[in-house]
Amino acid sequence: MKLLSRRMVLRASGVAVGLPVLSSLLPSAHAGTEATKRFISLFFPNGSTMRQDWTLGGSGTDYTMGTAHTMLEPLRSKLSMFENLNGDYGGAPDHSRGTASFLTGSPISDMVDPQVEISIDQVIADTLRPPTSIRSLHLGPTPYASGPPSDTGWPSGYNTYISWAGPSTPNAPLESAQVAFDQVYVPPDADPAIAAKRLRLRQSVLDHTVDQIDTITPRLGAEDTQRLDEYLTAVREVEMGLQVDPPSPSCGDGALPPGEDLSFADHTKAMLDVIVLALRCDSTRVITYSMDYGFGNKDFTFLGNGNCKHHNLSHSGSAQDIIDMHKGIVRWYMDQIAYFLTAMDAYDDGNGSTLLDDSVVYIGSDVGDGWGHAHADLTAMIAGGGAGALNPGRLIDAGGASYDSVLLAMAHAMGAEIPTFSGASMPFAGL
Amino acid sequence: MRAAIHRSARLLGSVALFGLCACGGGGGGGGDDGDDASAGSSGGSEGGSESGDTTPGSCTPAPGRVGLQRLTRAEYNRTVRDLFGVTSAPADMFPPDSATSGFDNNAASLTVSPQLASLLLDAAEAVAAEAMVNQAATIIACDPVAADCARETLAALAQRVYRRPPTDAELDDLLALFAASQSEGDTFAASIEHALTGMLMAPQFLYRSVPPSASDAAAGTIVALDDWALATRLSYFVWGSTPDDALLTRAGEGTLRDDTVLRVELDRMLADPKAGALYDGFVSQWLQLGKLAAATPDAGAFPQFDEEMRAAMLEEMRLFFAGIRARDGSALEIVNGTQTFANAGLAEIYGVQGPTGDELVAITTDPTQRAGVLTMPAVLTMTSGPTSPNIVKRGVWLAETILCAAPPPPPEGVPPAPDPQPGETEREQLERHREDPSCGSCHNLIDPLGFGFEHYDALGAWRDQADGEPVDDLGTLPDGREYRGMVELAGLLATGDEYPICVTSKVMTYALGRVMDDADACAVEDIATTNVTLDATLSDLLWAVVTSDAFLSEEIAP
Repeated sequence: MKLLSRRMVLRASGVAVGLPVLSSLLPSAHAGTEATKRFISLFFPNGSTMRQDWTLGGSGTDYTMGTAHTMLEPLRSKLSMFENLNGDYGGAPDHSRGTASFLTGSPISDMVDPQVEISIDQVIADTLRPPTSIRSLHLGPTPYASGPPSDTGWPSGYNTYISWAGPSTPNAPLESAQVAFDQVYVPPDADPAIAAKRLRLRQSVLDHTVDQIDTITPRLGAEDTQRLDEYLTAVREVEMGLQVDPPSPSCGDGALPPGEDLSFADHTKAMLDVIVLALRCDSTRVITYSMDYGFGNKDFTFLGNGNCKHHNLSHSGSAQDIIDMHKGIVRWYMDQIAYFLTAMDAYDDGNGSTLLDDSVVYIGSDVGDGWGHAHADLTAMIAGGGAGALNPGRLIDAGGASYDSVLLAMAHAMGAEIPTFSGASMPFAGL
Repeated sequence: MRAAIHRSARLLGSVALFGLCACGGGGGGGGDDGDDASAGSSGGSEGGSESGDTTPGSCTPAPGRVGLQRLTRAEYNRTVRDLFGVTSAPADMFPPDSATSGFDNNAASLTVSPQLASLLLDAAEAVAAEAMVNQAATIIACDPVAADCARETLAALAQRVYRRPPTDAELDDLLALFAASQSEGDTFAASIEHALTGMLMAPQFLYRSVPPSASDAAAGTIVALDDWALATRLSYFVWGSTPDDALLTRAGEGTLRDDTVLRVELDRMLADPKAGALYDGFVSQWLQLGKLAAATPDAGAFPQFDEEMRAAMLEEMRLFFAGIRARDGSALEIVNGTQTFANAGLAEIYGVQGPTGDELVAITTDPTQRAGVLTMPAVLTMTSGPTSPNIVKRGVWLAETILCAAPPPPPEGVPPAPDPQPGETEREQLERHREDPSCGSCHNLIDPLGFGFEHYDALGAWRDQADGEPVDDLGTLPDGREYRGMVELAGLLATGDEYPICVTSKVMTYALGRVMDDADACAVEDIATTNVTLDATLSDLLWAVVTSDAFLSEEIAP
């Protein structure tokens, strides 16, 4: 049975959701001197070539970065790498389990009717309820010709999506950087009276939607009621977003609309720019970005190494030239991550901190060693300072800890003091 | 009893035919491509009930339940196009829909996230505005100063948008929206536009059929769809879009369940160009044609391949199906037909004289070498690597799409596929791979399906040698029957029941928007047996689906 909606779960756990909130009741965006924390998670598929480029020598602050990471050296003091961090995926180590578990920590034993936990980004957003127009933002890669890749035998979405609003409800991401840009940066109407009228009319449309759902719901069975409840929850979120004052127009200074039909490489850079823009404008404080979907098979021929499909390549054997091609792709992802973290670190967030210093950035993949779908020794790192809650700059030996405890610890670093998460009741100590 | 197990096995082929499988994809990247939707077996079970009838010839109706079904992105786009002439495909900005059982219109997976809801609001405003630009004169058919004009206008509009007449309460709610806009000083037309925005956000629009009132039947009872819901199901099946005024008129007359009326409507709809949605929505997902976009034939090995050729391969597929539809051929032609289309490039692959230009023209392929989609360049290219065919991919494609016997993904403890050794042929590499018992349990079934394709190179041209050896195209079906090449396989498919049951189950999965389960097995087999034969036509098959209990009725929800 999939009858437990996010709203119901949250209601049961005492978190109030679903009621329109007046902006006057919300704390203003930068009230007081307390730092504004953000949670960002970046996902890339197919793991790494752990044997050669991720598992690192040394310990603590005295460690050697892998060959795929050299471009991260300038950011060394702002991030930590994991080793011996394990997954418990409840079945065969494969891309679906690795992806659906990435932010949910959920072991999945039943492939026919999989159920996952609400993902940690959603738990953080629901617990902290930041006063932003967008509760959480979910971004994805350029579209695949016939929809997101789908793993044989798995129902919708489990190999694809990392953010889950409910046991079977993924937050499918935006695949257009232009659409994402338009969501996070809305230039205000010149005339406040027009803006106010527009807001009233939009509100009346949403009120109507809610009324219709409420009228229909009592007539329907449990399954349909749950589907409509999901829609109702989503509409309430939009409603709450409308109540938030638009950001100051200057937050978007210098930001250019990315346009449509970008190449995968240009799209990736544009999405990372959108994330920084969203954070600068405080449009949202919780973001997930699947740089590619789980099971992803993007064409990396543009790296100049010949025919090169990511997932195919990751399983193409252990010859050195194949390893080097895979490593080239991991390195390309690390280049994008370095670009992003550098931009985050260049923005003054006030109080002498940078945007990066105030954020928790969790970066990783569905598997460890991509070749054999390893679910031990995962490809993972954490960046940012969490406004003092994290102690970056180290190689963290997780000692075989399951990463749901790390997800729990990250929620705590964000100030979301949830008692347990997935299978973890103790947060991982030592972030 | 044996018959029932047999039927279920075909629907739930993944488990029944392959048993427990192990090991990852075969050499050179494995059976999974991952670049495209290939959501596995047609019959992934949702643990259906045990109510499937066990006596051949008497099939107890077990129509099952679809429930509320959100419009897919493609359906949303076609719906606003057909309602209001909006051709900007506003749903393209929505997050993607995912496929379950290979089709993206599965009701259970069409969820709504807050991010989608926000974009739905943007789209509703944009569509309503464009609708009033395109059709204000049609939408507002009365004098705005007349007392009832707003109500009349909204009643007519809501019947089209909600696909049934609005109730009085629904109309009152829309009038309240109209009034809210009026009180802001908006014009009559702007206020109608505002109410239309409200309709486009309402669940009555966003989900295919929201009943106007509760059924008083007990949970589990099977009730007939009302005419409005039937018109909607029919329209989204054939057109992937909203019912037109003519179909709504039939529904309003209450005559749609009359076989004569229904048949006239189905034939009318199939003759309409909008029925091309059956190809875009059903065929392309069924045959996983999106994978062709990800194929990367090597420029050195295949200098003749370019983007024009890729497009021509897809166009051939579309024309091939259009041809079968036009002459109302048998569904068996899909796997054994030789009447197809080619331009100069495709003709060279087929080894056929005639076509010289870029335009595709009708050709007849060599019946000793070719068998419908099984040997089409689009299929053979998308299941190949850059320079050579991928036996595993071809085997998995055949299993998933034509036999409905998809292998399950590998279980725990899967070792990586072995590295290719120098000088080893793909067949040799696969043989070594299967020697590992944990791999062989599945690949002993997948690989022999792929071997049957060995006469076709990575673009689909006939070849007599592979890896320097004479081609060995001996293939084996999961039940052990052997065949030499795809033409012989097509013969087996025409006389056996795997393909008829599989294609019927695929059509019904798409038509209903839910997974076929055990309870559907006997209905699927009944339809397949009489409608996927040499004598039956494609429209016979579609008619049988449309008049099935599963299509015409629904189980009341618990």
